[in-house]
Amino acid sequence: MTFVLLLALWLGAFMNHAALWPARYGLPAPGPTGQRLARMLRLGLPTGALGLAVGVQGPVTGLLSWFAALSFAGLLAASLLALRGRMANRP
Amino acid sequence: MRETLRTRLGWLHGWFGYGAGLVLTCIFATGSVAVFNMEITRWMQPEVRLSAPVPPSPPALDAAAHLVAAGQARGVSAFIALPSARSPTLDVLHYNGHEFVGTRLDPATGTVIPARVTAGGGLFYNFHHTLFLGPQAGTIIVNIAGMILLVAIISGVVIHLHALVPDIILLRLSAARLRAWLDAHLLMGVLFLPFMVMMAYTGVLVKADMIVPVAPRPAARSVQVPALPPAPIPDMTRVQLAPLLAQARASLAGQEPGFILFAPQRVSIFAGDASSAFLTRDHADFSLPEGRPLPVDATATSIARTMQLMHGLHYARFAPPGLRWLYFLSGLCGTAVMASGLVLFVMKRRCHAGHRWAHRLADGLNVTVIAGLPASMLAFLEGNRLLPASLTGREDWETGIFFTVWALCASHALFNALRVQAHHAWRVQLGLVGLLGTSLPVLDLLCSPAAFHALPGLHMAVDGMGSVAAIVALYARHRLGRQGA
Repeated sequence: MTFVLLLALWLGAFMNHAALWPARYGLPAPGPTGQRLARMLRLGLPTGALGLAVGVQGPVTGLLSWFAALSFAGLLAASLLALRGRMANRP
Repeated sequence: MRETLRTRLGWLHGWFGYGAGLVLTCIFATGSVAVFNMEITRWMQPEVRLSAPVPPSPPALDAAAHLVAAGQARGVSAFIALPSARSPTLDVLHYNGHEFVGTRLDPATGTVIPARVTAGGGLFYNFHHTLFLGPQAGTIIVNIAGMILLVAIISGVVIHLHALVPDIILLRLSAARLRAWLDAHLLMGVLFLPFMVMMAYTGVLVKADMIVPVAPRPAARSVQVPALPPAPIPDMTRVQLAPLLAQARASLAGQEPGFILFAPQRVSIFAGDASSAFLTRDHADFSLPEGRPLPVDATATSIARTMQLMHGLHYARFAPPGLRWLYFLSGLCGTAVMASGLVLFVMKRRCHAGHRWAHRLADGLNVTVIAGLPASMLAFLEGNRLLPASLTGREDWETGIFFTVWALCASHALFNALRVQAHHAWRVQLGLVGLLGTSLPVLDLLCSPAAFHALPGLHMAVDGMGSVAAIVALYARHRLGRQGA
């Protein structure tokens, strides 16, 4: 359960990262407030995830889970964005 | 072209990466599977149907001690592995030069379980850290490959540094083939960078003594010490292990005993590897044959503690099942990074060097490693079900099946690649992986229905992994057919 939460937090962070690079990821550009919020969440969500992982699972297992969540959430985010791009390009 | 640091590192990353990548892909693939080495051994011994570990009873421990004594009388140095969550039997094991093999006992009654002899998951574990080339030469080669992996990772990071953060989740499936492969390589390479660095660094460090031997300290005085006569082996059948185990459990402070080792003058009860992320190998010693507790120095320096953590992180024996799956999946993604690197290396050079024999050789080696290795791993598992259970030298037959199938795959791939038919080799071998992977659950259900019924989770996990490998291989074969060579 903890890992699912970590995955969700990292996925949110990656999606905010994509929102900050709209041209690269083919997303609509956010306004200044949206940019500020995305920047805060990109930093805040992984920090929260780290606190959760270490707090619940201890330092060693927690850190391993946190890094694993980074990797798999990144893959998930990339797949979602790639599929979105493919759907958008479909005639 | 202007020579820059990036172009030089690109050359280093490409050539070093390709050379070592062929070996590293095999090391990473077998290492990922070896995370479940004990579970695979249980799958390969369908006669063992115990689902949960029970504490070993005194008669069972006595029976195990009798087996150890019988082994010592034959000159075989055996030890006792106590039941654990991953292996619920009481095992009397010895090292046969490649794997730990031996007899499995029911921990409640002490009766011998007539389990078939198998190479088990130990084959993958052994291949991962020695390439089956022996503990000395093999470990040195694997260690050097690990160091090259670290060089390839650092050079790859420097090459990709300017786009490392912005492009961290960039994947363009609709782009040109080369670009899409590069995106996939970069995506997984960056995302699984922490895991790959951790495994490469800890892997090199835990076996560092093989390539950087500790310099022997100069002797203070050169004195010829006469060789002592070998100590007589006490009668271990008179040693009561159950009370010693209870004492050891109390003195190991929260760590569950895992192994019992015997020396001429003492018996040592070691903490199990699952006790902590620090692989401490804490132990309680008792004199033989009286069973009197012996003093043990349990203090560890900070360097020793660091090394214990390095061992623990690399072997992941402390990890609960969920974390073990993460290790396994991360290992597979690391394997995919290396495999995509091998494919990219050949694809990038096809235009200007496709006609050269060296390029065709590289193409054939890629097929051997990326499609031939999984095919031989699946054939090894199927061989376990097809070979007669009572066959003499069964573990050698299973190992033989693994290497024979791989050698046949290599011959087929190289023969076709050198005739500019690598595309055909890819299709045939991916089809073979598909065939072996889909037939694995069927064969398991037909040959061991009782074991499947007794341990459905274990059997579905192993059979399911075979099926997933088959689906991935058949999908890749389908894509290959659509896109052409």
